Amino acid sequence: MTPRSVVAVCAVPVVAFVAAVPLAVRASGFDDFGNHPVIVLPMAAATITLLLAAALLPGRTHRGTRTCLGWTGTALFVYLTLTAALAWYGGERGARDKLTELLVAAQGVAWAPPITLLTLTFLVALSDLGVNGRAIRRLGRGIVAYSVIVLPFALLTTPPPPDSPYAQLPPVWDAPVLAAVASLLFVPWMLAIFLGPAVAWRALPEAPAEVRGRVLAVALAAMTPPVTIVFCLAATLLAYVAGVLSVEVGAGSLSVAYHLPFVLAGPAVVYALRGPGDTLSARHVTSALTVTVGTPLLIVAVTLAWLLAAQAGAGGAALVVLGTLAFGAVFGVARRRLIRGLLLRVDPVRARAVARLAASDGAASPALELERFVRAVLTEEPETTVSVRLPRGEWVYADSSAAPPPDEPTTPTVHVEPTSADAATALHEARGLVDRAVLELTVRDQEASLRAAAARTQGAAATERKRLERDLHDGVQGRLLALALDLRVAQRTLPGGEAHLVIADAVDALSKAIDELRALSQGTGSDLLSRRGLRAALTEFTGQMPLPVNLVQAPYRLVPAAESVIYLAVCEAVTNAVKHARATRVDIDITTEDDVALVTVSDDGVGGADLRAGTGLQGLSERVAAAGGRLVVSDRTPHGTLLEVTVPCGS
Amino acid sequence: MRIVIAEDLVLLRQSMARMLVADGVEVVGQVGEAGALVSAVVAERPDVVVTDVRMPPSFTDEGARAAMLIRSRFPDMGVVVLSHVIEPKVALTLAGPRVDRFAYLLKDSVLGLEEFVGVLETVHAGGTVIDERVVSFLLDTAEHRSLGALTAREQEVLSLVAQGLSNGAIARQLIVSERTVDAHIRSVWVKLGLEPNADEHRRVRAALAWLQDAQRR
Repeated sequence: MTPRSVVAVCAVPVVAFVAAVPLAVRASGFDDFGNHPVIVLPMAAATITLLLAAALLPGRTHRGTRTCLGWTGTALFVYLTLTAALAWYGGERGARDKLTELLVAAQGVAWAPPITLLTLTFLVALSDLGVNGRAIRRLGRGIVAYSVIVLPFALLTTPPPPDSPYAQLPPVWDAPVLAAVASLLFVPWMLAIFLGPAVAWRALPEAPAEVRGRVLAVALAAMTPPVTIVFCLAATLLAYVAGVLSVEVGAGSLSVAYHLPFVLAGPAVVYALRGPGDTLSARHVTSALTVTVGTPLLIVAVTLAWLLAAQAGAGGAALVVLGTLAFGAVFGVARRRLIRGLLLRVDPVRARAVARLAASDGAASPALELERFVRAVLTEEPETTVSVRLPRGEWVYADSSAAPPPDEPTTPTVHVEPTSADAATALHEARGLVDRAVLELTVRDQEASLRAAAARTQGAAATERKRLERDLHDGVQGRLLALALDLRVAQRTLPGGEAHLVIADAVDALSKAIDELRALSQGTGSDLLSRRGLRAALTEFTGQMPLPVNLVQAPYRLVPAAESVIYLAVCEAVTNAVKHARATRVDIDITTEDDVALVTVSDDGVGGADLRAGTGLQGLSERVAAAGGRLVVSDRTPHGTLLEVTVPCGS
Repeated sequence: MRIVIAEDLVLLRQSMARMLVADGVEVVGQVGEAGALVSAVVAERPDVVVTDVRMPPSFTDEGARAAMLIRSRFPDMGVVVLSHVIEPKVALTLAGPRVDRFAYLLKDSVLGLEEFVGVLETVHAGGTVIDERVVSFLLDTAEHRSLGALTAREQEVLSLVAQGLSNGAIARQLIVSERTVDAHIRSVWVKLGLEPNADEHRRVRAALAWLQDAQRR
């Protein structure tokens, strides 16, 4: 049975009994026993809904609440029975004996236990939700103990109300001093009605996120007794001022209103515990508000309208109906702001999120800002990571590194690990930031794929250049050499003269051409690099430097694109160390790990190298970035420069 | 003198062979790759092997590796390595601890016909020839401080020693007497702190090694 149908089932007796109010007003049997006869109807309805709700709650998880609801219903039934018995015995039969005295006293006090039990129900419901269980149970026991001490005094010493038909009957135990003490002790007991909502509202910020919605629903349900009473008092006062209400009608409406919390407590608690309250979204708060506050207001308004229509004609009804409509209109308009304020008040995660968002200024990287935001908001999980789903379906972390696809993403595009209801709330609050983060990571991803394409192109270019160089050496250079050699042999066979000289000149010209070809292809050192690899080329290069250059370690070969970038970077760094840094020693260290080469070039020079200052380093940085790598230049302590290059070297 | 030529470019190989044959050298084998070179050497036992550094299939250093193998397996065989480019490290590695019967030359050295045949004869006779461009590269890049102690003439002598020239050859080149050359060499050796050694091969090796060390220090 779904919570919605539970509420629906409970609504049937409520509506039926409210509809029967005019009939009851007309019935004269209960007219003269102190309370308005209409009281019987909401009392009966409340008894039924309470017992129904208790029966519908599963005993395994909500044993305490179930018990309390049952006892509340039972206590109401006892009150109803006493009232009916007194009406028959004292009212119908007109008996004025010791039994009447006892019935009057008992009926005068029996309304108290249901109220205590109702307050207790809300407290136990909180306890069943796992909120601050021990403190709440202690409080509940305190209330019960206090009631058990105070109520017998009241039962025995309180005389019947002066305006009741039994005013001339003495109290069971005639002790005016004790009666005064008992009525004083009654005040804190009455105030206990506010304990349920107070405890619930206080527990709300500390409640675990999973049950916070339910705690809120309980808090709202616990609000019904004070809210109904205040509303009824206000309505009655208004009606008096307007002069459309007699004392009798006011008393009647009040006695109806006092019982409405009992009618609604059962469905409200069932809704709170079993209803859709897992997350504290605005929609759920609206439903909870409607059920726990809106319904009693509506029912009170309808009841008052019926009573007024019966007693004071259509004009009074119209006033109440208009008043209710006006209230509804104001409530409807203010609802959004009201709920927003309510959510911020009761949900610390949401409140932190709003504060953090208001304090953050335009961050350079929305993705990293989103991760910082989530960590700041979810204070219990400082190691939280945020991953984002890219349009092409892959998941990446805030730093654009690849992330595993989550089984159950927090939202369709963003995942917070470890995920929770709080995480979803935080992301919901930071919708704008989330959008910007997704956009940023998408752009970065596309940049990366462009870089990868550029690196592939560069790799292809390097391979092509290598082939070209080989062709130059082995093809053109060799052919020229063979030609020159043939000419030289031919020259020797000639006896001399002009042809001899012409051939000699041709051989010289060819020899120069060969030299130039060699210089061209050897100028960059790339020939040695492509033929004999990174280590050989670097050894050769460092061997030419006028200061000790220590090649700590270097791989023999890498993919051509990585080799040429690393070679360039090392040459630039060492040249800078010699030319600008006045270094006396340079260390070069090249290691590879997981298809990434890490190059460090450190010197003991004056330092102060800056990517922005020299175009050499700037250009190098761009070359490294084009190969998909990163270049970092920093100062060493006490002095010197450290150049670090990471570049992918996987095939 | 019987030689084997290893050069992958047929045109050049044939021209070289023609030129050498015209000069009375007996070319007993012409091959185009390193494996064939080793086979030819084993089969023909030539006096001198002339090989290109770079040959098929990978065009990296097959010829150099074949030259290393031949030099270690046939110590009496002369090896002349021809390279397209100057690679001092390769040259020194190939020269190894004993530099006799070895030459490392840029490929266009073959254009100087008589000189090239002279190199073959020197190597055949047990001498060493290191291309002057390799030595001058080493000298250019050697640490300035290390060479500072030497006079210009002494540097010249050191360079010629490193190229494998004998005292007589150096004397002829510098147009001085052999005794003067001898004095220069002694002076250089003292200044550089090298072991005085009459053996010309060890002298070449010492000069080359010192020049290489001068770069690193």
